[in-house]
Amino acid sequence: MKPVDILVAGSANPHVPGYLKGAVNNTSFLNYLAVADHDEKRLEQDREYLKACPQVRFYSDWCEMFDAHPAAEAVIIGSDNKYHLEIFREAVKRKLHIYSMKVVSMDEGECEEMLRLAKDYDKVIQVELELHFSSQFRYAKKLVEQGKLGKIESIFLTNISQSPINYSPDWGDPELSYGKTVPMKPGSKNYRGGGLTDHPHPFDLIRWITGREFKKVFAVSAKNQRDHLRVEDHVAITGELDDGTKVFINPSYSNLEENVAIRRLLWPKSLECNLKITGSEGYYAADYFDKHLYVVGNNYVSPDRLIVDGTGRTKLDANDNMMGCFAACVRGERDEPETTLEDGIAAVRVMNAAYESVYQNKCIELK
Amino acid sequence: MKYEKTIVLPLTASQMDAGGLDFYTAYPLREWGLVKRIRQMSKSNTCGELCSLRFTWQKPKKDASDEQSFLYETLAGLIDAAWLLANAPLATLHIERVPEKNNLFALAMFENEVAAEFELNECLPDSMPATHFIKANFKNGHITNQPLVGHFNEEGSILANDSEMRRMVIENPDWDDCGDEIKTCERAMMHAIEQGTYPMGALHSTEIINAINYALGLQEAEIINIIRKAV
Repeated sequence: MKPVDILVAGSANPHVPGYLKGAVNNTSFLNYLAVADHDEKRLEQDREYLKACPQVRFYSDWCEMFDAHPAAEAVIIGSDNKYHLEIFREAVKRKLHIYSMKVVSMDEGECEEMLRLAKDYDKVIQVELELHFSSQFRYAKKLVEQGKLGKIESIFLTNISQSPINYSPDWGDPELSYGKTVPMKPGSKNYRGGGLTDHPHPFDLIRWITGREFKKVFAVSAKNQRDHLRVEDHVAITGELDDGTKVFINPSYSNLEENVAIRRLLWPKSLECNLKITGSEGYYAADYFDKHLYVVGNNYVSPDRLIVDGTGRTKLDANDNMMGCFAACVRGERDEPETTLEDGIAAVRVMNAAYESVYQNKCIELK
Repeated sequence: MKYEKTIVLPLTASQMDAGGLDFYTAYPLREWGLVKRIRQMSKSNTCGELCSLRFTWQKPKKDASDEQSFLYETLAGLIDAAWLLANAPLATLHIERVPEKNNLFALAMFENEVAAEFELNECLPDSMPATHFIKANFKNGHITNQPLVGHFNEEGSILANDSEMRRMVIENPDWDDCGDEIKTCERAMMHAIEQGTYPMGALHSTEIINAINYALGLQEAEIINIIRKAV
């Protein structure tokens, strides 16, 4: 497959460095042409990640980057959520394939505009919802589709992490992450844009695994564990799907890290993503770290701490990952992305209903 | 009405004089070592201020209680434990229950903005053991008996029905027969050979086999015999 010539518009999203670091050793899918970020510190860090790729150019203005690379085929939208729509608009204008970090936008008006722009757009639009590629969750989908668990009665799914805000401070700014400043509850000093905004996976995975839509949600938010955060670090949600299945979701930052500028976890598990499905005929439970590894290393991503990590898995198909899937779609080797714009926006609607439930302290029905 | 040294269930107690001190209400989870320890550490400020709690209560169907006990003893007892730990009155309670099943999720808020999450499921397949966990999240730490990895502090996923519980390591969702991580290595090796990413040749075989034979003190004749059998 010919690598896709790609631009990176913004690197504020904490997942973008992972893609850039991967670029050094894996050029089979992507050929990075340029990276733009208005934040000098982040751009400097991006240069460091890509120092082995001398062809990559760096810009402080993403419009300038677009103008300088008219032959680019695709763009990764990796900015703060607040700027996703304007980059999306420009990408559509320039007929680029789009790989958007999640969430696409927490503003549902903006989501509607993106859907309008995407209608009849003949380029690929993929949203980064990477847990679709985790074997244990794919297996859950397969079990449910095959009816091996019988009628699904309840689903429990956590997506609990440390807060990334010490080392990605923009994520702690409600304007940049949620798009506007909305208090969690009337009179609250904590605002939308934290753990819930950061964790669309449970909402997406439950829809994907069951093929059902959310009917209603009720949510609570505890006092913040971290006094210095303006955004929420805890939300817990119960709800019901349109077939009556009961669900529980926790998309919080409940696992603590040290309050320092590099990642240094206190709780040794960076991500708790535990799935439990109870059906009339059987039960399935999976942990994101289903093949776990305990690591302590002074040069590890969270230095000098006992950390739970995973061992990875055998990939039968080189395209069986987020970026491989995107590139295969761009090259016409795959019909549609695994995770679409519609998937990303469907999750956002449920997430906003959860925020509204916290604010109003009542159950919110989804239309 | 006198209730001298009488022990009553929470449902009965709810109908009695709230100020009455001549009876006991059965909340055995107050004496759960885990609850007591979290309470003690909370009081001694081990981890700072409590923010949220998660209660996991799971049992196989064969051990499920009757509906009344499930709701008014188990759930009530867990809420009481949460109240004790939160150390503030209950402000909100929301329950999502699977109709007619001992399977529910509940969310509680206490007046001091401590949240409690409850997962109560007595509908597990009969092949599964019961599990009871609490995770308490504080401003400066955590206290929990919840497994760090998986659901029983063991790796892998769990697939269970009433007659069997399997611990699975799902290397790839297309490999249905892979429950054993070591067996999957063989399949992964075959895949790597097909992909051309596995190194060719004897690798370190000569040195390894010689070292084993030497360490076992085998004589040349014995070694020749072993090789003859293998080849």
